[in-house]
Amino acid sequence: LAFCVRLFSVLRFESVIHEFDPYFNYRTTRFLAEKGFYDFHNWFDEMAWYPLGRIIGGTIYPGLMVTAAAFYNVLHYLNLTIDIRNMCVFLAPLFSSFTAIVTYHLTKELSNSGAGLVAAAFMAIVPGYISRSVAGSYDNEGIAIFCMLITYTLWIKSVKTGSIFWSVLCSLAYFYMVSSWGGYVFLINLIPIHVLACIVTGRFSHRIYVAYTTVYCVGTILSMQISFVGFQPVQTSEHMGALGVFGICQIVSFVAYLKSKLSAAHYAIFWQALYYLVGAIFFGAVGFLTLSGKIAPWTGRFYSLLDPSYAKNNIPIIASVSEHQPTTWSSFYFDLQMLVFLFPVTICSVFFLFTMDLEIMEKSMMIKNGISNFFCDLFQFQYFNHLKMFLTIPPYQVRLMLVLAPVMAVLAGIGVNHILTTFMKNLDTVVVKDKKGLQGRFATISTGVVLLVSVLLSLFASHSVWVTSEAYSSPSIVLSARGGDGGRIIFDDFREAYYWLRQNTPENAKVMSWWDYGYQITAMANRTILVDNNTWNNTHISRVGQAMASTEDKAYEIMRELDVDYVLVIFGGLTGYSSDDINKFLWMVRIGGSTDRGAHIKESDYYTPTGEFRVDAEGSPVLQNCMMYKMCYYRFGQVYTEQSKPTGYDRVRNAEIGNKDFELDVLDEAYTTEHWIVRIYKVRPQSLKTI
Amino acid sequence: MASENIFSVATKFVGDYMTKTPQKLKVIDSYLTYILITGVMQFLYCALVGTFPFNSFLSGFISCVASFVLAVNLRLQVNPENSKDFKSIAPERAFADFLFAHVVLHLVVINFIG
Repeated sequence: LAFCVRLFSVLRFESVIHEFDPYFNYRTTRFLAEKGFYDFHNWFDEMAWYPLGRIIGGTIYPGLMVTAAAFYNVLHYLNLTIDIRNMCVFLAPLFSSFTAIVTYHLTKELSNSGAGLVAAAFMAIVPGYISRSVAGSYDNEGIAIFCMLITYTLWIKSVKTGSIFWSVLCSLAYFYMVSSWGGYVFLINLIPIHVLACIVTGRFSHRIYVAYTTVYCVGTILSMQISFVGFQPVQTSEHMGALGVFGICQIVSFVAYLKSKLSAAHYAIFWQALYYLVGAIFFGAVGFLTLSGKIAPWTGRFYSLLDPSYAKNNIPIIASVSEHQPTTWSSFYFDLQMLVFLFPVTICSVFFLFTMDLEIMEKSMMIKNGISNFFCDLFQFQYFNHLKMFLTIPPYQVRLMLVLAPVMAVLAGIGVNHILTTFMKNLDTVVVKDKKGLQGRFATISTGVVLLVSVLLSLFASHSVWVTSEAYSSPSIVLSARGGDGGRIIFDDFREAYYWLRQNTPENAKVMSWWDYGYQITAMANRTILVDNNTWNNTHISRVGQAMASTEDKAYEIMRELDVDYVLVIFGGLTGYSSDDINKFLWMVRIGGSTDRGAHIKESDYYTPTGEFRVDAEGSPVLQNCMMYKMCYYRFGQVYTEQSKPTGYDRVRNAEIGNKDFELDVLDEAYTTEHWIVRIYKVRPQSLKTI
Repeated sequence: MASENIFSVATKFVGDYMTKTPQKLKVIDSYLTYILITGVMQFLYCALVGTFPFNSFLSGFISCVASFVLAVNLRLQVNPENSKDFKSIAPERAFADFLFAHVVLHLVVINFIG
């Protein structure tokens, strides 16, 4: 089920990689499959971020690429020759089916296998997860969720049994998680919080000590094997929590050990002495290390979690990524639907199990379950913590809806199972006991509730499938629209432009474009670019922004400095494609103006005196003369776009453009695609520049 | 509380320890002390000489810490007083797990030492 529902885009379009980020992953995987692991690990990429280059080996999470390449090699070994592109496209759905299986196991550990089945079914189709794992969305999250859930399952297993074996397996799973996604930091903080909560509530036991210490030690040293992580686990604040809890574990255990050996009076004395000593050392050490700079303060992304306006004001790049915007309630519903409602139900049922024994359980079961109740409480408590963390964070970042999805699935699974078993039981007892009156009424209520739940579940299923098909299945690289007669028109402009670049420009040509398209250009056109989606160098991106936002002369200076041969822009005015560069232009201005050399670029210059952003004759003259404007609207003034509208009518901004008939001084138009979506310009060499 | 102080408590504790703990646990405890001393020496060396190369220091130090921790876990699991906490794990199984964890640990340490 999980696999099939993600295949919409493959059926509609073809087996391509979607969006932007996955293109980078695809390119690196191709490199890995061709060149082998050692070359991959030491790869220095000169084609991106000209002239700086990028150390690929040290700046990525290799898990995804290694997994795909491993599958690819295994299949080839078995003589099933499947192309690497198809491997990448279908990897995400494959892993989501694995995820469903793991969700089953996880929920089974937490409550029982009935809940497991329900949770697995939820997980297979919940839109929040599907959005990042459709066929073609070849990105880290596809396998990361699988890794995360398997790490959790193994953690719970190891806490339950207290055996070193499961703990080591858990740390190996954690290693896999670290290798696949930057979000592993959640795990390394949640698990200590769980342990801490257990200590605080008095449920600390030898088992937890064994499990946590093993997982922390082995897991940390494993995680440092990934070059990107390096020494962070002992240097950054994000990992300090785990270390702190580790220390606390040692202390608590040691103290408990002494308690069991000493008599009460002795113990009290010892306790006092130790308490002050340890407290002083601990706080002193942490304070000293932080102040002296050994432990880096929290990074920008985490700041924006705690204070959403921080990014907007200080670091425009983080703010401009749409996935970092705060989540709206409607997207909560859109992604999780039923689960949003079942979630409070589960909280209640969890509370029930947590605080008191249920009346519904028969007495004999209660005695047997005394011990397993203890386990239950423990794990549901852990899930509380999981929830707390995830409830605070998703409101701040849409991307993290993805992480909330499995939690919701599991909890909803438990909740639904609980409801159903409760009411089903009543149905059964009625049949067996054959009483009338109160029991009879109970039966009708039960049937009613069961029916209601079934209806809700099927609604959820259909909602999820609809959402997947409509919203999340389009590969942004191939667009489609309905023509005037209802038939489907396919816009393949992106690929058309990239292949033109690939075939008609010299091999060492350098292309300047906005960073969104960087990965695609290197992957498909195979040309050197200035900035790409990795966005690790804000100054460089800001330079590009300045070039786009300045007049032709100033821009020419910048382009000469950066050795640019071609410039690529995306223009949607002819077709009505709304994520084009003019719509992104204000971000270019903001980012361009955010560094020293761009201080002359002020956002307010590009607005009309009344504060609107307009491209027609009322628009600001600075806007009408900047390079981006000229590149997008060159020759557009002679084109009819819609009936009954004048020439040069921009269908996205719904305005006739202001500056129509102009000539370009420093650029030559090199190529414009069929629907004018991608426009490529060649920079004139110094000798041909007309003043 | 004033009549006894920390030293008498400590001496009594040590005396009890010598007499009451079984032989197996004492072996593990001496191993623990050895690891502890090694770890402290590594740390002192690093503090005196500097942190280059950091990865070697880290891997050595963490290998000490991890060995210490694993030995403590083994001790916990083998101790008959704790048997009600570790129902499903016989002492032999605990030792086997201990070895397994050490294999993984040392593989990683060797990779990391550089």
